[in-house]
Amino acid sequence: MAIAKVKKVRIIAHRDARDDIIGILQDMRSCELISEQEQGGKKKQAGGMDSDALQHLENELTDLRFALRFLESHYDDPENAMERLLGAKDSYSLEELKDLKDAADFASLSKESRTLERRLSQINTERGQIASLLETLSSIRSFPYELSLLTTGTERVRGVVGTIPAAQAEQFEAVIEENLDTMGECRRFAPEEKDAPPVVAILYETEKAQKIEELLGQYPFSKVDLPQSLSGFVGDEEARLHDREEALQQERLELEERAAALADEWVPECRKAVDYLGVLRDRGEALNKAGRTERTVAYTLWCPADRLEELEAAVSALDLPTDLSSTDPEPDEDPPALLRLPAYARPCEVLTKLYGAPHYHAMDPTVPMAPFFILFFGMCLSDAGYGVVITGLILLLIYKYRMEGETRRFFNLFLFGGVSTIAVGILCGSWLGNLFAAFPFLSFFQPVVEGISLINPMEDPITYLLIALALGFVQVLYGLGLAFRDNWKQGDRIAAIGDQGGWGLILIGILLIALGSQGVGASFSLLGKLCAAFGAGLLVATQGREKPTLLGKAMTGLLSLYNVTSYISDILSYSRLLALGMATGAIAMIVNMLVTLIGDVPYVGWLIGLFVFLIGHTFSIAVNVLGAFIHSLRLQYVEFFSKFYSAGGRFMEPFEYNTKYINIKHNKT
Amino acid sequence: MEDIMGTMLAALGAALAAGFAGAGSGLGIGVAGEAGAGVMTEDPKKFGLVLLMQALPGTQGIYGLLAAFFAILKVGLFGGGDVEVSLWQGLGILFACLPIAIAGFYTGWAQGKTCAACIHMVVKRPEETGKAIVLPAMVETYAVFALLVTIILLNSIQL
Repeated sequence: MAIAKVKKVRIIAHRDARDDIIGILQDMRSCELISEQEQGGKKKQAGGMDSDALQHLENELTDLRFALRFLESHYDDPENAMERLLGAKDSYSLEELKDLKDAADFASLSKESRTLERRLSQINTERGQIASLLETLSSIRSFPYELSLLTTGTERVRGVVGTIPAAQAEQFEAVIEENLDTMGECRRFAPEEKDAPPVVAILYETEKAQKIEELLGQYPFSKVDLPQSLSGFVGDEEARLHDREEALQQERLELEERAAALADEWVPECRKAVDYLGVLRDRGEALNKAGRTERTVAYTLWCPADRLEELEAAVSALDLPTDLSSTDPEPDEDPPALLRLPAYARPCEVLTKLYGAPHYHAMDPTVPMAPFFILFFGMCLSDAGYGVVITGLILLLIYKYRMEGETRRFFNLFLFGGVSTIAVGILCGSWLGNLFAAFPFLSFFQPVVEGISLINPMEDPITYLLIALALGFVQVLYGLGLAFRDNWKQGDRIAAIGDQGGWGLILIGILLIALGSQGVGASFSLLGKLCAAFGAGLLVATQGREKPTLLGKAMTGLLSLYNVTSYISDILSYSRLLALGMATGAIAMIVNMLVTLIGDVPYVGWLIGLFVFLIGHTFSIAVNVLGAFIHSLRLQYVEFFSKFYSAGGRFMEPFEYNTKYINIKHNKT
Repeated sequence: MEDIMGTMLAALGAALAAGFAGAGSGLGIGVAGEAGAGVMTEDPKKFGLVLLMQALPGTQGIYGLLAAFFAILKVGLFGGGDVEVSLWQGLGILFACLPIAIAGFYTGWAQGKTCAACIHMVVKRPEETGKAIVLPAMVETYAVFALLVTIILLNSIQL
């Protein structure tokens, strides 16, 4: 059985043992805690760590995460992102991590990171302001007076700077000048860039202020604000701003240097500490799921049956009094599903996850699906050359990055697919399309390739099509068989015989008739007809069994025969294995043909040809792998699963060490 | 004139297959790309996933190209040139190219719309990525079947 049996376990223990038990559970990494609230238990106090402590832990974690994020942006990581994502993580024990955390002053690290980050962002803002001021100043560089005239004004004179669209500039200038007295002045500065609007600076007497403002309002004059700190001549102010900018730049470099130094020193430690605090936080939250009385705590959890003994041993080894009881899940309970798979099916677990988890009491589809998926993947790609490339690449990645766990399993899926592709490719005699036939200097391999190949889908597509349909027939029938077994086991024998038996007989009957018509023998044909008729009879008799009236039963039974179209189309759907297989071969052939055509170009032909060869086949692999994956998956989900599998369960989420950067060692090892 | 009519009809078939299937893919990728760009304004990190989803309606174009190459190869337009193609044989090749031309155009477009919807779905529920990739593949099924018929027809026309 691929779905592991679980037991519902209840542990009641002395209060003081609560942390030990949580530690044991987390270290086992295989039990799922059930919260007391979910249990419908009485509303008790939260079960352990008080909320202040948990809050404190949360805050500490948030601070440290912030520091880590800041420092990582200044960190020259010896591992590249790929290695971190795919590679194995180092292992530490919780004791080591605790010592590390206690020895270092992470609080002041967080504080310093925050200060650095804030100062850097202030500097950035100020530099932005300076840049825009400098731009404004450069547009009025020929302003002959001190800028304080424009910014603060004097007792008798005020000033304003702004832009005006070029088309109205002259008229605007004339109107303003008309209204100014001898003290006033209007200056237009030619814009530095060709299409920028001209800048105008106006100085006017204080008593004219109202009139001038009115005039400004009549024109599309947009005022430029100058800060009051600008008081000297333009050139002096520019020099001052440049100095300031330089000082800021200097400070920024120093701060960044400091940040990089901090990062170098702290990032690895900080990552460990973040993971460690995360583990503690998880524990705190888990404790809250437990129920408690004044003296005791109670945990309820799902534990895989095969790990129960280990749990019992660990719990009873504690010094404090504990009590552990376990029961099988009740039929109305909804335990999580945990898959225990043979090695060859394990990579396909992710595909089941994509579809949805099986129900605990139902069947697991992963094992029945695995061989079909891997075979179909190979048939869709069906090129030994591409298979070798994929297999090689995946092996390289797996060993280079010492992959493990979930990542490793996902890559194994493609590794298996690659091997299957090689096998199918050899049988079809397809090596990067027609590599050996296309290039004369490789042609001595061609007889070998042809010798070991059994079928060429390009020249004999009908045979390949029949193989694909036969596989479809087998898989659909297998799906029906699984459903039959399941119904039978559950005691619903009418459904087993009527639903699955009826359709199975019809399908087998149709196959026999088809074989008979191909001249295999008249007896096949007769047997087939009998078989199909019997199956149809079964369906008519059983499919209406839910209907109340006899007429209703008969009508529903008869109408159900119409479903034969869906079975036929399911099987025809497998013809995509041929289409995709041929598509791979044909695209590869096209690439080879282009290369031979380009190769005839004198002098540089071989170089361009090589380039086209590499790019073309890379593209072809990418497109075809995507297609092979999606279509093999679809055949499982739509054609196969629909016969026997309905998701609707949930996967077990064991209480474990949820770490990002490191692994936690087992306590006892 | 009459002796090259067959070859030219085959050329028309190849042109229709590559042209219409390619246009369908173009439309589909366009629609999916619009959705993808919209989604990435919110979350640029989704680029990899969006690109994958956007690429899905691209296969029809490839199938069309494939059918076109088959047709061109068959009538020897790639050089060789010694193939005799009668008017009726040429017409047959033209007909054989129609399934992928028609189905490629419409399924490419429809698949693009499905992809666009699925891109939106993936952004709201990243855990459902698997399903989002399978839904567009349901549309593509019919392009695959059309390609199959095209290939079988091309294969069974004897020159």
